[in-house]
Parts: sequence; structure tokens; C-alpha cells
Amino acid sequence: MSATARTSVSPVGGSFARLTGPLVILSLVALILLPSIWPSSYVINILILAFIFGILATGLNLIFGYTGLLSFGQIGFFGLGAYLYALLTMDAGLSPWFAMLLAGVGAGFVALLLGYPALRVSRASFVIVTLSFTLLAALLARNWVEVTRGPMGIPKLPAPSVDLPGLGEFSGHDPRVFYFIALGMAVVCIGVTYLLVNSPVGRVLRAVNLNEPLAASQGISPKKYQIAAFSIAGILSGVAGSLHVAHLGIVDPSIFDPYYSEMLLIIVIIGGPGSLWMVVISSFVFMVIPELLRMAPELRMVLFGFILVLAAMLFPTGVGGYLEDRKVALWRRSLRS
Amino acid sequence: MEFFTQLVINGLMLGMVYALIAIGLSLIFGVLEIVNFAHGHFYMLGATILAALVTSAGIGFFPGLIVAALAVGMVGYIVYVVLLRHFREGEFDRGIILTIGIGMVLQNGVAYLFGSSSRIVDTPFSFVSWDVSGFFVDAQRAIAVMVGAVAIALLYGVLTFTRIGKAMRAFAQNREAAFIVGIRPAVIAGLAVAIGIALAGLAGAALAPVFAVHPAMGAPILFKVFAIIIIGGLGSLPGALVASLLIGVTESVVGGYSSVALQDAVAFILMIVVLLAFPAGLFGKGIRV
Amino acid sequence: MTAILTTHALCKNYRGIKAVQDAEISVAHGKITGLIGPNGSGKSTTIDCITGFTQPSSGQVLYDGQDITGKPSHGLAGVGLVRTFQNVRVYERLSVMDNLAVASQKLRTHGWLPLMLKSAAVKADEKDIEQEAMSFLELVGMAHYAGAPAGILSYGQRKLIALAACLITHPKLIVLDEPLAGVNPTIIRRISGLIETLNEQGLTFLIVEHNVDFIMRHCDHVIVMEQGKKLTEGKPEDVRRDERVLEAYLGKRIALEAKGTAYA
Repeated sequence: MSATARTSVSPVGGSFARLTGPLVILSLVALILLPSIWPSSYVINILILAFIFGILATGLNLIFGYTGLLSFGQIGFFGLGAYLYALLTMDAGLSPWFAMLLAGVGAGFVALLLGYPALRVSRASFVIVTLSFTLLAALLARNWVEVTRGPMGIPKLPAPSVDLPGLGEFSGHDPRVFYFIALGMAVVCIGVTYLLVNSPVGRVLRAVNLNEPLAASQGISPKKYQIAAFSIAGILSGVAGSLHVAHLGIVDPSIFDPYYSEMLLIIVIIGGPGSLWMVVISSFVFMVIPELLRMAPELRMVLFGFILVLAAMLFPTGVGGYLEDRKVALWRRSLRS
Repeated sequence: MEFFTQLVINGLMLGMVYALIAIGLSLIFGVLEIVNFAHGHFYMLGATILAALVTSAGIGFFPGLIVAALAVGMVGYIVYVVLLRHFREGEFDRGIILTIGIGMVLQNGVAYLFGSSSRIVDTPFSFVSWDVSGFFVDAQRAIAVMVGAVAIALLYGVLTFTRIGKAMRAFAQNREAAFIVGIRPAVIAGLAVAIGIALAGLAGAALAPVFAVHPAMGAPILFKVFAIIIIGGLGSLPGALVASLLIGVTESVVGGYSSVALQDAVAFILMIVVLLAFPAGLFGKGIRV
Repeated sequence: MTAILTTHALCKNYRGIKAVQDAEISVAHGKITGLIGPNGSGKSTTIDCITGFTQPSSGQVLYDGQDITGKPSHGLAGVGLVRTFQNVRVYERLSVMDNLAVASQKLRTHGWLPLMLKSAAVKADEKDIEQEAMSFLELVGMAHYAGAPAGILSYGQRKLIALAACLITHPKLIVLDEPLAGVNPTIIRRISGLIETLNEQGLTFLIVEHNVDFIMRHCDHVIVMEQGKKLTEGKPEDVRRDERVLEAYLGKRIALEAKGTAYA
């Protein structure tokens, strides 16, 4: 919390929060060193996917976990960012880095436009409008053949490269180089979200989520904050999408596959909506699990479905929410004594 | 003009099928305020059960329809008793997450058990078309439409004339009102969920011979029906019926004169337009969640 | 005596039901005005219209010389008009301190980038907010709960936090919706005392309340509503003696009792 105060009633809380900083830095160092210690392209590719999903999940966490709006538009923005990246590099001839930037901005802008009608009526309509956006985007990708090349997709996409003065240029087509590009983007995207949710803006977002009328009575325009958060989440998804296809080297309509939406939802629900780091950890866990669970993909999805059902029944606030509830319980106990 | 009329007839038939699914979805939303993301997968389940009954067990099409609808309704009731019953008001997001999970289990479970390939169901009405005063009507589709019309009429009768039906409507308007009628809310809600899901199963079964049956068939139709209930007004049954027919006809006409791609997009585009012009839907009471 | 808030011919219809009809309400600057009436007489709808939570069907709301009719609620805190809610509202999962920090208007003018990067100006404002919040929490006697999540507090304690959150916005007029309902006598005394003190410091109140004792003791002026219309208004002691007011309350009670026996 940004405005912590001297208190006379106080439980032990905060020991976990104090450890977060060192743990994040330690993990980051480990991730930087990993390719030199364990140079397996298999491991590197899984981690690249985890970075991409970490960005994507952080975006959903921002709009759902903090702002309280369940968005099914994130995969739509993911695909939009992917196609923007492909079209800007292949057809407009822009550099991969610039295209990646514009993919994020473009997705964020579309989110801004979509936010208004989506938030017009109720949370139910927000869910359905954002879902429809994703479906419409998929439809467009498949059918607007002149631009998107239809179901065949756009192959041979370039990857961004890194030019280090004195050391030469490193091509992003090398997985070990792309690993650092994806890691860097994840650090930037998750870092910006961290700054946002831990700033007074994040406090207001949580307030709007917790009690919209109260926030409005205090001079906060709920819509303004909701639309802004939706737009930022759109930027994150767009960037993640461009990274994903830059890594794959091809974009096609399967980027909108419901599988992505389902995985994204599970990651955020199990990690805990509104818990930034838990959701990031959850992204890694759920990218690694399929590699460990060698079973039929259908059976795996049945299992994930059951996990979602169980989570909704027993743990609606995820691991992060469970930890928060424990803190509140400590408070209650300290008040009683 | 004749081409146009043919398109409108096709559209009304398509719309009737949408209506069957949309009304069930709307009924469940009206009573529980849960948007059932598994609804399309129950539609798929109905189709799968019918396909199994007709092709493997050799049961006739009409008895198969009834068995499939009842079986799916039963599954729906179990889902209510085990899961949905424990939900309180205002847990909107949890309901969505839960039903997405149920949908994943259904779709992938069916794919695992029966394989993910498409199956064709043959009935005596396949490839038959009827000539109704100069217009061609596909017999199998016409039967699906008639089944839908009968089911909707029955539901209308139950909701209007029976005590439990009246209680259901009262419950959707105002939860406290249900207590006054003297029927336990859990009974009303459970029955509404079972009926709503059985209707989806019935639609799937009736359409199984028209479309290919496969585990992923539920999602696309569900999403279209979502758009329909937004257009009709969330929780409004007449709204769901009218919007279904409207979308069916519009899709058919657009498909006839323009591209198939645009045909698929019609429902979503109309939805955005309706949301901007009439935020509560065409018939909606604009339930705030 | 100038009015800080007036409504002219304020009407609100819900699907043909006239919840509020031609309400002419005037709140004098620096005074405590009570708004009373039986349940369903349109008090809550009236204050919802005033505070922008519902659009009036017709009529006018004037506040501090401006026409605020139909202005959205979030545009009013900035000009000094805030409210509390009937069933007290706090941000349950935020700390008491953060509840007040959110309510403060100080950071509203900063851009998102300085807020995220915690610029020097933002830091200074945050510090001010913290001090100010502590002083208001001390005023309402809740300072030692500053770090606790608001969700663990009792109903009455939440009402105190809600009041402190109003104060940190530096309002000119506070609209209180049943500030005393459902709280214990100790907190009733504390809230009554606070309203009195704040009023002496120049703050204006419009209060919807059922507690007759409170109304008689603390209000300068009382407006009585019945069936969506203003029945009468005046000094508390005059209103108390008004037969129409007794009838509005008692008539309703007698009618209810009659109904009760009919059901039994």
C-alpha cells in the first residue's frame, strides 16, 4: 500500500510483502543466467512462451483482477497485435521493433473504442461484447483474404534483432537471442503494470472495482478508469501477440483459438485475480505443466476444466486471494485480543 | 422477389433454432443471473447423444429426440444441484468461470470418449425436400423448426398457466416474490436450469441430422446466441424469440445477397448497434449486474 | 440566510410511479437541514436526484449558484457536494487509510505518468493526504484502525470511516442518508457530536434520518415529505406539533397495524 500509516492495531502482516522485492530480483537474475547454464532450446522455447503468457495474463489481471471487468477481448487484442505486427513488417516494411510498438498501440486504441459501447449497460454485456470482439476479429482474419491472406496466414515473419555497439548484431531468429527479447519485453510490460497498480491510480482502480457508487460519489469517474485500464490491458495483449508471432515466424487465424482464452483464464484464476506476482508465477506453472503431464490433450483440457470448476467453487480468489484472506483473518484475531 | 422470399423462409427456420437455444439461455439468466457459457456444449451433448442413439443403438429419430432432450436436461439438473445451487446473487464472474470449466469438461470429454471427427446422422428425412406452394423446404430442417415451435409453445404454456411456471416468472422478476407463491426457490431455479438446458439439448438433437456432429460444434452457435440475447434484452424471453428470428432472417438475406463472411458477422454487428442505440436491448429491462 | 442548495419542481418517475413530485427543497448555508418522512415518501430518491445518482424526470437542482441538474455524481465531489449511503459503503478490501486516500481530491489533478513514477509533487501530496487522513481519523476516533482493512470493522465503525472519507474531500455540503440507522448508542452519540462540531465550523448538512430525538436536537430546519411531495417544513418544534405530520406517520402505522391484524 502506498499510504501506509503508523498504526497501533497491527498484526504481523507484511513479512511476505517485504520478501517480494528480493524474490523478484533473484528470479530475474536466475532467468538471465539460465540460457548459459542450461542451453536447451526446448527449455528456452517453453520459457519464451511463459514470458509471452506472463504479459498476456498480466493484462487480463489488470482489467479483471484489479478493475473487476471480466474481459474476453484479450485474445482478440493478442491476435490483433499479431496481425498488425505481420502486416506492418511484411506489407508496410516497418522495422520489427517499430511494428511491435505499433501493434501494442493499435490494440490499445481499438480497446479504447470498444470500451465505450461495452461498458454502456452492465458487466454482463461487457463480457459478451468483448467476447464478440474476439470472435469478430477471428472471422475477419479468416475471411478478409486480401489483407490477412485468409486461413493460410502470413509466413516468414521477421524477428526483431538486437544491435549491441561493439558486439555486433544479434538476430532474433536465434531462440537464445529471442529469449532475451521476450524477457526484456516481459520485464517492461509487467514492470509498468506493477508501477500502475501500486500507484494511486491502482488504488482508485481497486476502489472502483470494490464499490462503484462510492467511488463516483468521491469524484471518480468509474468509466474513465475502466476504459483506461481496458486500453492498457489491450496494449499488453497486443505486444504479447506481436512477440508470439515474431517468435513463431507465422501468423494465421489459429491465433484466436479458444484454447488460448481458456489457458489465459485458468492462469489468472488460479494465480489469483488482483495478485500481480502470483499470476506471473501461475503463467510459468501453466506453461510447464503440459510438458510434465504427458497425456492426451483432450484429457488435459478435461483436467483443466475440472480445475476451473473447483477453483470457482472453492477458491474464487485464487492463491493470491487466499493469502490476502489469511491476512484479514490475522487482523480480526488481533482486534479480538 | 421469389429468391428473397425463399431467403426469408430459410431465415425464419434458422431463427427458430436460435430461439430454442436463446430462450433456454435467457431463462437461466433470468432466474439465476448466470450467463451459461456451457450452454452451447449442452447443445453439442444433445446432438452427440442423438447421433449415438440413432446410428449405434438403432433407435428412431423421434424417440431419440425425446431421450436426448431428457438426458441433457437431467445432466443440467445435476449441474444445478451439485454446483450452481451454491451460488449467491451477485457472483456473476464466478458463474461464468464455473460454466466455462463445465464447457471445457463437456467438449474435451466428448472428444476424448468419441473422438473429434465429425459424424453424419442419417434419418428417413435426410435429403428430402418438401415443396410448399413453390418454395423448397428442406424436410429435416422443417422438422427441427416444428420441434422447436412445439417446445416453445409448451414452455409458453407452462410459464403462463401452471403454478410453477408463474412462480418461475415471478422469481425472475423478484426473488422475494417466489417465497410468497410458496414454492422453494431451489425447486424453481433447479427446474428452470433443467428446462433451459434440456431445450439446448433438444435443439442439438433436432439439428444433428442437418449439421455434422462434432465436439467443438457448441462454441460458435453459443456465441451467436449471446449476441441474440443482448439484442433481445438480457433475461427477456419474448426478446430472445424476436431477436432470434430477426437475426436468422438477416443472416439468411445477407448470406444470399452478399458474402458468407458477412453473414457470420451480422449478429455481432447488430449487437454493437443495438447496444449503442438501445442499451437495454430491444425488449430488455436492462438488468444491472 | 442564503441557500447553498435548492431544487425547483423536482420530479422523478419510475415506470409511471411518481416517486418525487414537484419537490421544492432549500438547504440554508451553514445549517443542518433534516429531511424526514415515512418509508417510501421519496426522501432517498430526492437525494439521489440531488447527488447525481439518478436523473430527475424534470425540475432543477441548483447548488452554490450553479445548475447541477442531471450532472453525473462524479462531477460533484470536486465542487464540494458529497454524500453517504443508506447501507454504509466503504472499500472493504482497502485499508482504512487507503479508503480516505482514495476519497481525497488532491491527486485527481495529476497525470497518470507522474502518479505511476511518484514524482516529487505526487510524493508531497501523498504525504499531505496521509497527515490529513490521520487527523480526520483522530477526529472520528478511528486513528488506531488506520492500517486495518475496512472490511473487518463493525457497521457503526464503517459509518465513522464513511464520514471521515466525506470530510477529506473538503466539502461544503454533506448529504447524509440515515447516518444513525443500525448503530449502537455510543456511536450515535459520537456521530451526533461530530455533526454538531463540524456544523459549528461552518459545514452544511442535509440529513435523512428517522431518529426523532436527533432531528429535534440538532436540526435547524426540517422538511417533511409524504408520498413523493413536500408535506410541510419549518423549525423542528413546529413540525413536531403539525397535525399533518403526525397523521403521515401515525396514519401509516395505524394502516399497517390494520393490515397486520388482517393477515393474522
